[in-house]
Amino acid sequence: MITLDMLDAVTLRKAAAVLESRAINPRRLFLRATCRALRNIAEEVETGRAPVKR
Amino acid sequence: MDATKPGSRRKILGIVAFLAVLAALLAGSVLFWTELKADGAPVLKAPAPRLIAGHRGATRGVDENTIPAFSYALPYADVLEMDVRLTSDKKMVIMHDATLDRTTNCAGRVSSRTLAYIKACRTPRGSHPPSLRQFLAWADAQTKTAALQLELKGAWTQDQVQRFVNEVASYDLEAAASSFSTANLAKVERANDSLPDETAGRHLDTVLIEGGDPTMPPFLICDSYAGYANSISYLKKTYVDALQQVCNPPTYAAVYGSIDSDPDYQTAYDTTADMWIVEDAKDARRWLNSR
Repeated sequence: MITLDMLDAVTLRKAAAVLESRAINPRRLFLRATCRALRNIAEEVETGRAPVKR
Repeated sequence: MDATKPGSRRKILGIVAFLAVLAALLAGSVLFWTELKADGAPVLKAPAPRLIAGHRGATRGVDENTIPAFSYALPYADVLEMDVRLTSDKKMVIMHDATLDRTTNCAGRVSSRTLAYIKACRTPRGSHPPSLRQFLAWADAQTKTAALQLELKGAWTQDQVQRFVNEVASYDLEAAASSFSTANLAKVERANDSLPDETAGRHLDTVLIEGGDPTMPPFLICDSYAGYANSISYLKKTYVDALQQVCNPPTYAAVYGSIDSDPDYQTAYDTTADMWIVEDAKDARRWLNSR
């Protein structure tokens, strides 16, 4: 199983961008909030602030 | 139940399909939701982040459903959850209970008091119940943004729901309407179709809330709603798996129910629900970050 802590910041940001483009799931509830959360995790990975198993 | 009727046959087929899907899920499949693509080719699927929602803003150390409660939760929450009721003059106020007695120094039913009367009531820590309009203006003015989940409490007419949807859609906020009432949510869907041109596209997604064993198979949920919320006592991983795998696109799953301790957070995590509606967003964020 892949968890978020296995992904690097670039991949996390890419996931956010793909989601935001609505190419994957245009009906995703709270899409913007989800993308913000992914980018926050990417920032935490980059800065080493937090483990990111979410 | 008469199995010769088309509706009954559909229900039976639905139940059989649901059981088959559950069996497949139990066989050990794993959830993924985002397919990342490089040059058009699928390369990886990743799990979703867990979103934290502040239940009534927050309910620990602050007065629920007040601006201070939402201010407290906002730095830590991805979503703010709140309740909307109609006053006697058919205005919209943020209030959970049907009466004013528990959360303010006033008494009586919300539906029998005017908005002006309710706004003058004081909560234990000296705040006032905000109107929906006040809340939206406050949310719109914040630099840190959160999505909103607004629960429609009580019975609403189509005109009243239309006013609600129009008011929320007048702001560029990410918002969803939730309710235990399928009738209320159907009215939200109709209201979405009648949004004024200048707010077209800002429709409110709908989230069905239940507080017991799920009453319908997941594929019927995703046919009608963008999200589904149930108590942490009743929403099991198998059902969440079905919502996320049977539904295409996956339907969003949320848990609620006095989620306010480390064991609760672990239980919520284990359900694989997309969102936890928690009593103290700061505490839930601490737990999530310390995993």
